[in-house]
Amino acid sequence: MGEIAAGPLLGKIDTPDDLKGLDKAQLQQVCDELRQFIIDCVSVHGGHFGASLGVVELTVALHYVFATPYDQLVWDVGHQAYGHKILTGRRKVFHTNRKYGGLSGFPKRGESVYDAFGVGHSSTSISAALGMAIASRLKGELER
Amino acid sequence: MTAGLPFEALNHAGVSNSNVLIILNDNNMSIDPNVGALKEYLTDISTSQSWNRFRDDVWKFLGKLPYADFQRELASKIEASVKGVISKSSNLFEALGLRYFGPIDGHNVLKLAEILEDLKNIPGPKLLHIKTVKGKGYDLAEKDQTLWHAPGTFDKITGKINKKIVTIPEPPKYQDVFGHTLVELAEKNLKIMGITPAMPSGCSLKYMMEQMPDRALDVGIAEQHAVTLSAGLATQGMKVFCNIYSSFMQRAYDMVVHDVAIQKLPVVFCLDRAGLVGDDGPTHHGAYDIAYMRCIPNMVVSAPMNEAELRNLMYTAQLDEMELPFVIRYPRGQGVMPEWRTQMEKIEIGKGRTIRKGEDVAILTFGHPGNFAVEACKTLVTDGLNPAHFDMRFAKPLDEELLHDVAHRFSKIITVEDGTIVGGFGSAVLEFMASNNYTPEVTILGIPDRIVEHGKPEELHRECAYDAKAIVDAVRAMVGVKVNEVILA
Repeated sequence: MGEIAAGPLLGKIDTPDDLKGLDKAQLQQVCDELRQFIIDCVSVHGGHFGASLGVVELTVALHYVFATPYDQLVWDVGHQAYGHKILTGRRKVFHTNRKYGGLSGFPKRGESVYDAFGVGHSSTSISAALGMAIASRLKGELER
Repeated sequence: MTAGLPFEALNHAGVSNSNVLIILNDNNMSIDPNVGALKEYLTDISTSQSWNRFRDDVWKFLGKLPYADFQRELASKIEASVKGVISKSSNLFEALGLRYFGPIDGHNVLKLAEILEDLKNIPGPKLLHIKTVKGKGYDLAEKDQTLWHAPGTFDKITGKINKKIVTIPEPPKYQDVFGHTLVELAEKNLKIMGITPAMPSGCSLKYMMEQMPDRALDVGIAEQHAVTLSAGLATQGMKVFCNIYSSFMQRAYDMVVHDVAIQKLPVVFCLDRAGLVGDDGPTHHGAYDIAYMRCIPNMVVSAPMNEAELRNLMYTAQLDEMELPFVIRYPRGQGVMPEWRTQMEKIEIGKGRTIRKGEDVAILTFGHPGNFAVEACKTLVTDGLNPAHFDMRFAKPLDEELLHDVAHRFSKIITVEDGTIVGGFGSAVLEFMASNNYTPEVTILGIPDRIVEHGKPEELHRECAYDAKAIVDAVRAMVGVKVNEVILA
């Protein structure tokens, strides 16, 4: 029971910077590979499924367009964030998701700089993101 | 978007002038289908496409001209004026002061990237509405979204979900015992109602919802509402079983205090997922409820050790004579009784029961971990020890008669609970001992004062040292092991 093989494009994405280096025309393939990776992984190791499949395209587009982790990305109830975790440096350990000593099933500040806010319960994201945005404005980071 | 918090935040975001982009992922689902009027509203604005397309065109055109700020201000004005003409109902999000975009197809990555590029350059609070399908790209998951929310492992080709192969009858889940027992009780007691905040499958209220749809309600992810709604129903004489996961009940604490306890309304709170839940980890552990419930006046705080006890507590809680708010906490997953459809009996409030008589040490347990103590006693007996074990059933009110007796007969006491050591059941026992000037040696086993991460419940019980082995170790440490003494001598 171990690491899951990734498609040719996804296999080269260790951070969102690698994703940004791709041509826009390749994004759909990244989405397809990411979706397959999630299916492969959850079918063998279990975990949340539907929510993450639903936001594959959104996840890819957000990391392609925005300057994460400088731009703060907050998910609302984090079990949709599997794709996010896979694109942000955790693909090779993703098979430990939700296992004792492994990755958390939800975004978690202590786990990655890309996880801007811990979200296990629903409905918290707008408040948290607004707090971040107000702080950015006060600090003069107007493009954040 | 069925909870109150996002609306509180949206209401503030609209006047905050901050760079925040909110993406509304509209898939019509929580774990179970979403409920409520907002769902209809979202469908409504999604279908008024012509207005949205026109408005976006105007915005894009003006936004791309020089003097962007001035143009955008103008654009806003034009937009506001045409809105009334083209859109019959004004947009909820716009009314809150957010710029609204969409809805767009959330599965078109190029379109998403394009619009996000545009939105990146628009300052201020804004909302992008995308339409997605939960489970997209895996046919079966699209079709049965609740089943495939978290299916466990499965064959990705055939879609067959792997089930544990069962050869002997297995104990049921506490959840199913709750669900079926509630139906059984509600058939006889017409005042019974069931409430769940968006967990009808998870907590098994679905059985009552199927059979008595008027009397069992899913109110959406809205714990505060669930509790106060239950309070309102109780004022009219209804017996409400409000089933909320222990960790989600944290969100409705003021409602428990202000709306239920202060008014002494006899709402029954079934706290599902009490104790360490396992894979979901620290955000979902039901660690705190013993502590946060037992400090509230008027509360009855109980926990069943097995399925029969859960049924008896539910039966007791719905009786007319019960005039206090009544907490019944139980863990996620299986109990211990394959034959669980026992005859229900009334339990006297604040009365524990003796599981094993003994003399060397008194083990006081609260709820399901009583079964760990039963296991531990078997090992301890082979050590030549004779432990006593009491299933206390209630953390509030405590069985004071039993505790006086224990204090007189035992100098060593161990308490075991599936909740925080700080402020929990063991604390309650210590308070009793201190205020009655008893000075036994007490060891409290439970969840330590730190955040416990995720893992299998068994792994976590071991880590937190309140499984059967930990109880054995604690007893050995307190009384010494006679076998070893013999060897040493």
